[in-house]
Amino acid sequence: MKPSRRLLRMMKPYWLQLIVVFLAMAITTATDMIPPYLLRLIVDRAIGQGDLAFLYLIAFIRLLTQGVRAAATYLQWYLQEWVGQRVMYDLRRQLHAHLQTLSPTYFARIKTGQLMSRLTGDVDSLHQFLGFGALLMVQAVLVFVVVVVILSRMNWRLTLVTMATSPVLIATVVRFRMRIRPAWERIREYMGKLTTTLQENISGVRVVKAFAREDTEGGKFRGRNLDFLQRNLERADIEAAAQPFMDFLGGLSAVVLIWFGAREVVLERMSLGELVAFQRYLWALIWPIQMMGWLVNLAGRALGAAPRLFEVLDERPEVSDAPGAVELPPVRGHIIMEDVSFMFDDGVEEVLKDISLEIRPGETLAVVGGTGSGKSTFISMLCRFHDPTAGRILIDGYDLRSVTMDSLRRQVGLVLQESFLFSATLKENIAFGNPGASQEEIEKAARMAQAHGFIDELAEGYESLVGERGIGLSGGQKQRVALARALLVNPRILILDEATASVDTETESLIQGALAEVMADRTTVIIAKRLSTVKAAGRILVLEHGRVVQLGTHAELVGVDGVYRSIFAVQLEGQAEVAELGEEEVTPVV
Amino acid sequence: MSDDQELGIEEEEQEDEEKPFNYGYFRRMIGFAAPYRKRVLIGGAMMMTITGVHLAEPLLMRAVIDLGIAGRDLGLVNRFVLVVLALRVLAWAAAYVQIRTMNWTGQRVLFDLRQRLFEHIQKLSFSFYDGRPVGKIMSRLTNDVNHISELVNSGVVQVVNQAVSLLATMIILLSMHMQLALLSFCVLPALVYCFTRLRGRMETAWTNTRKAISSMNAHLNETLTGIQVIQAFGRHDTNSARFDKISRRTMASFLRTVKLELVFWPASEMVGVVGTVLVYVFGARAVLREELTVGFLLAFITYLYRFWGPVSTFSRVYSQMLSAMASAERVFEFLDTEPEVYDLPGAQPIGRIAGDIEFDGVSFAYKAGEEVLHDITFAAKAGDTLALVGPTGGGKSTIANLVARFYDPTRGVVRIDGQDLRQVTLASLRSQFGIVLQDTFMFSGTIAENIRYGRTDATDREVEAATRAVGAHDFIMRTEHGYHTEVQERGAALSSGQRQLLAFARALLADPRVLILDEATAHIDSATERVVQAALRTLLAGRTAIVIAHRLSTIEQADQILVIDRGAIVERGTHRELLSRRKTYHKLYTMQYRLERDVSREVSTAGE
Repeated sequence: MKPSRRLLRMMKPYWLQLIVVFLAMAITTATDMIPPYLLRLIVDRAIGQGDLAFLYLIAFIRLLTQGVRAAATYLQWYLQEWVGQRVMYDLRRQLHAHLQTLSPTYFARIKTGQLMSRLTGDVDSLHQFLGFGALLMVQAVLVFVVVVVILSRMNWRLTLVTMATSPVLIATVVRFRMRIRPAWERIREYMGKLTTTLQENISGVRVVKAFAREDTEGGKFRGRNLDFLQRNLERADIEAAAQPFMDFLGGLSAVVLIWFGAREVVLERMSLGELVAFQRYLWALIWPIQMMGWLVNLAGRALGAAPRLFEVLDERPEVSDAPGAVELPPVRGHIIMEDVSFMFDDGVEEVLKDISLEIRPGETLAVVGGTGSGKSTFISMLCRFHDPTAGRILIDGYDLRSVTMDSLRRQVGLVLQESFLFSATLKENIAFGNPGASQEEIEKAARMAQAHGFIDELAEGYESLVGERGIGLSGGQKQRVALARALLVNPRILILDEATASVDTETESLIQGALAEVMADRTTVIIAKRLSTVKAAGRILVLEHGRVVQLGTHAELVGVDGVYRSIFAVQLEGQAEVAELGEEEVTPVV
Repeated sequence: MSDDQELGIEEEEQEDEEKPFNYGYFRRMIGFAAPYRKRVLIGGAMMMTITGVHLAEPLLMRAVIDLGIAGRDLGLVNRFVLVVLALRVLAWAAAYVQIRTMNWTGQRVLFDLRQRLFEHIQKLSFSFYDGRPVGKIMSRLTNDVNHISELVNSGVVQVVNQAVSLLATMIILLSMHMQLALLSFCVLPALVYCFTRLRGRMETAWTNTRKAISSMNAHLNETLTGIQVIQAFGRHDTNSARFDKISRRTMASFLRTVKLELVFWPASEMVGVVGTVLVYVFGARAVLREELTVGFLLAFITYLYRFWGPVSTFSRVYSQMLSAMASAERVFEFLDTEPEVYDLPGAQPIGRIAGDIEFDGVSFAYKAGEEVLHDITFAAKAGDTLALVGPTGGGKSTIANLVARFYDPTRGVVRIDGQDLRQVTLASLRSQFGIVLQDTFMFSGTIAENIRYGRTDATDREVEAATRAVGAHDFIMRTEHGYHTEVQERGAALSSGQRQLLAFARALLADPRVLILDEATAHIDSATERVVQAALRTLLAGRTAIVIAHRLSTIEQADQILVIDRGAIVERGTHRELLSRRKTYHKLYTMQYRLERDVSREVSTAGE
């Protein structure tokens, strides 16, 4: 569907308001047509025939007309803005809701800066058009038609002569329209690039400063900034070529009118009052002409922006609730993977190949493997961030594709290596998945995650605000808050993706102690690099190039000369040394 | 917890009190156009020309009616018409020049403003970024600057032009017919009253609208960056509900603003019509008494239109300016944020650093009264590796930040090669530093470009040497386009371990004199650990290094270990010394391996 059609469809729910707007518009347009006629009456009748009573009557009508006009104008513009704002609101809501259904693959592909630029700048361009541009355009056309009809009824020969420039005018508007829209599209595109550069710079500001690269970054930004400037100047050139010319054509009509009209009056083919009224009507005609350039410009800008937004809306989510998906009832956490393979849409190779596995309720499974072995994909399949390309995954006998995503994800606690915290208080962050939690519950979760200690020491405790990326906290602290957040949901299935990588050893051992208790009665899947963490798991799954190469307990695997041993070779050696040292010098403080 | 404050960018939600128009900001805004004053003048002159043409026309029309038509002189009509035509052509040309010059200066000013802002925030300390959402910073550099464009692009010039036009029309009206003019002006006070009553409220309304929009953008940004958490917790409904609320508030705020604006506009038109009607009545009577001609009256009325037209649009231009000023204020707030760390007057470039680092009684507080480091004193010799150990939040990273002068100490002195860091220029200092953080941010671009980040002129051979040294070469070659593989923003194409190795290569290539590793090994895979150990040895050789690590194995080789807890040095010495002292370090060390000791026993038995 064309973007313009789609925009129109978005206005459909507000048809009632729009009808009122059009009615009000008709009234304003009509009231605009009255004053020139009144002026004609003043010149021809009140002055021409010296009718003073009539003069007062006209004065009164003029005031009355203006009163009606004021009310109608207010109504028209307010409702117009109202509809525009509503449509923007709907659009934003749709975009926001839709974005949340898209898979991590999409966000890896489209840059945050790009999306931000679309959600702010492009939406704003649309707003300006929908807020007043679109309806003003209708009004301009309406005025144009009405005035031409009035004029031709007054004096068709004069109308013909003054309208002689119209074809040129229309041709100019059409041409302008054709040229300005791509110009705006380019501007929006370059704004997107500028925003991306900016976003990246701000997000990576620590690296920029660490390498003292502020100047280079400034140069990079300058390049983008200049490009953007250039695109704007190109746009200005197109405007400069078209708009003054349109104004001139409007003015030319007026000049022709005086010239021809004066002859008509002198030749007594029309009265002076008529000429004056004619001229006033022509003025009413000139504003739509002058406006046209600007409006076409605005429309071009909006229609340049619209496809960028619709593109986001049209992005199909990789996973979505199947029709008739059921709520997943509380599960025990019995996971079965049957011949599961997975390949990314644009991938050439399967990331996971023929994985068959059963994880019993309450079991702890550690997943290990080298970089790119498919560990992270493996666990994201369990949260259904992706659907298997082949095979299926069952939880308590339910195929993941047959249940609603929400009901599934609410029973799965996921802690990622990069712990994103929201700009909110610590308390709110921990209660993210369970906003109804009491302070006691929040503290209990925090204690388990070994976060209570440091939170308690903060001046504002749980009420302390954290920045967008939790910058105020160290990596280890963020991870502990994220862990507490997952624990508070009391998930049946707990998934930890290197969830304690940034935590110091002492804290980690405390967390493990606390988790042992929690993990006892729930299914846990862990990705970890530290041998101590892996070793504590009931079974260990070793992945290599997306395949299961080993599966068994630590004791089983460590005895075999295989991938597992080679992965942990360094740590195992190190520990052998420590074991000696430990015997001789270090007495564990138990 | 109520749903209201569930997660919130609440600080900006209180609406502001009425605020006066800030002329200081306005002047500063105008100041940005000063370098282009020549073009502004040309643009202004063109605008005046157009206004002049518009002002001359009613007079010519009057001549056509009173002399041409009344005198039945068609030749005269033709001549006047030619003059009008010539003026129109002039206006066309002037408008062409005006649009081009105005856009040029306007866009140029915006360019300058964006660049200034960008370069300025680059200089700001980490504390500026800490806790300030990326979305909000972005919003100021994009949305607010774009908004100002309305002010610089047309706003100011239009206001000047309209004011001149108004004044000229007023003079023409008064000189045409003093009494009639005064009669029509007698309604002006009503308008002024209207305007002054609404003004303050309009200003406030605009400020609130801009703030609401900014909150909305911040929320959007957070949704985008935290999308995986939202999805993982199945919380998109709540998140949407929250967005809905912010979005609704934005809408309501905007409509409130529009309402105020829309009251003024029809009201001022009405006032204008009252004035015009008065002229109708008294003017027509004067014509009947033959004191005035019809042509005169019509010209007068035309001028009245020209007078009231700008007056009623003035409210729109004014509110546009207000909205732009609200943005300008937010932009200037950034520009006025002083960097905490900057080159002191007389700061000298430091020259090639040998690498002696000295902390002399250093205390530091991010916020006044909340000291995070207390009286830290230590020294590291050039080429040494200094390890900082201790629990999270103890102050290790702060020490590292002070060494690189990301902050200045609250008390005490940090010296490198005996020179107080505050006496040297930042650029000369930082260019000799290499910092590898836990957060290994990669910029969009190829792998090679990212590695060259610290030294753009490095050859391919040097890049490869660096990646080989840290063991990153092999996996890079396995990626689709090798060194030319595009790195994505979220680094989805690379694992965090791989990004860490790239960050090492990046630091190694920059060949810094002082290297800081801030928990840089946290993300290294077990599989790559051996490679990394070797890489670290390469990386640390021949330079002073400060290493912060959780894994004690990384720091056993350090020349000096400082155990930091609660902002103070609790122990110092080498690995052996500290172990034999059997205090904090010993405890940490045993703690780390207690868990794994059983494992190693198994290994030894398995090995036998």
